Amino acid sequence: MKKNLNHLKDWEMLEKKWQERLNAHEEELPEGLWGKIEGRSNKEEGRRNKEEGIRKKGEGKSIVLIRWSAAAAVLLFMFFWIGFQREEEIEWKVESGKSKVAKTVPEYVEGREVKVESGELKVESGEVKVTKKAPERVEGGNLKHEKAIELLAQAPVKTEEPLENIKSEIVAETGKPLESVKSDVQAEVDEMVVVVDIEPIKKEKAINKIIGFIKKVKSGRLLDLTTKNREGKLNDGIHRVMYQYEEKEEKLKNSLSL
Amino acid sequence: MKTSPPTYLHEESLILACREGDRGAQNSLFKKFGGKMLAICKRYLKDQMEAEDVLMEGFLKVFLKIREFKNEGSLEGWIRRIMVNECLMSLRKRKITYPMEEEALLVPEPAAVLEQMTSLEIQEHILRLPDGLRTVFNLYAIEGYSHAEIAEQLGISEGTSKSQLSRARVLLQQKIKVQ
Repeated sequence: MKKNLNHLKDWEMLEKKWQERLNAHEEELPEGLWGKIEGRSNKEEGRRNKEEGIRKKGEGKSIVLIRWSAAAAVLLFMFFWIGFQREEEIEWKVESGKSKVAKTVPEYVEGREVKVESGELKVESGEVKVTKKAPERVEGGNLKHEKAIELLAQAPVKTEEPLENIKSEIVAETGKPLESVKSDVQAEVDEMVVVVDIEPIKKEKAINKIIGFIKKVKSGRLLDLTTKNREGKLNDGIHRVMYQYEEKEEKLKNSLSL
Repeated sequence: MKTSPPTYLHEESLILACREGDRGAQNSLFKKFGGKMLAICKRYLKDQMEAEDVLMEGFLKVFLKIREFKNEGSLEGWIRRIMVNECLMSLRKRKITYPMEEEALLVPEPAAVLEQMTSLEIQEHILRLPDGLRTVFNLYAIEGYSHAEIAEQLGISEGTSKSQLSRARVLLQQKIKVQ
């Protein structure tokens, strides 16, 4: 057994010598072998470049996709944010059946319904009829409205007595003749905004708007929205964001094509 | 007219140029190591044409992977390893069997004549071995792989690798006696 182990050592020593000799051994390279390698190498390089191009194109597509997803996320966030902001705002409905009605944005009223009853003020054929004394101040009314009401309040009018029947010549509070006060009131009422009803936007309404917008995005009518007056301001913002993304996408495409 | 490849004084500059995909540098690399690598391929595969094909594939891999070479060992050693792996891949197609010897072989003392052999004689001597024995002998005795590494590379047990090596040694000795 010991003898056999010694033989193994002898073999290992022999193999070490063989290893040194064989490591230095060279074969003659056949003619044209480098040409073949070069040809294959060029072919492989062309194929790799092509694959790289396809991969980059794919990457470009996914970059665009990511950017669009980011844009959509930003838009969604904007809509939710605006939706919840608007939830606390008041939409003012103006009764359009009457003459001289225009819409102005009144002062903010804390989400409660404010009504100016139609019985208090009426605009009919350019004439002002006061059937009872107007309230001193109507919350949520605009300045013109308030002024008109103040003027009316100063008129020496008792309840349910038409303005034309009032005989007093001077209105005590103003020191002006009644006719003058009447014409002032008339002038004010001509420009006046009659706010009939105030109704807060319900939460569902805002959510419905968001869902509607998403549907519009899906159907590709997103840019059409920018032309709509109702959502103009908001969609200007959207349009700007979209434009920036389109511009960046274009730049990216150009740089990739280079 | 044939143009000779550029010569590089330092191996680092040759590697750098090869990394850049410089065909001239690649040709220089091929000229520098091609002969030795062809000898290795022939020692594993026996067949000249197959050895040339494997050499070609091996160099394509070298050019492709030279960016991964980290200058930690010798460049020749790194290329040699790629070539040996390519040879083993080619040998796998032959579906070689590596039988385990049932009884432990008694390996005789190596003949003195074996020590005097030239590299060409050693190569010819090794090439007479059957595929399986030749592969294990080449990997263990010439490349310096351990039995564990051989077992992993060839998908055999360490015992089989040891057994194949013993068998190869016995056969080498016998063939010398026949001569």
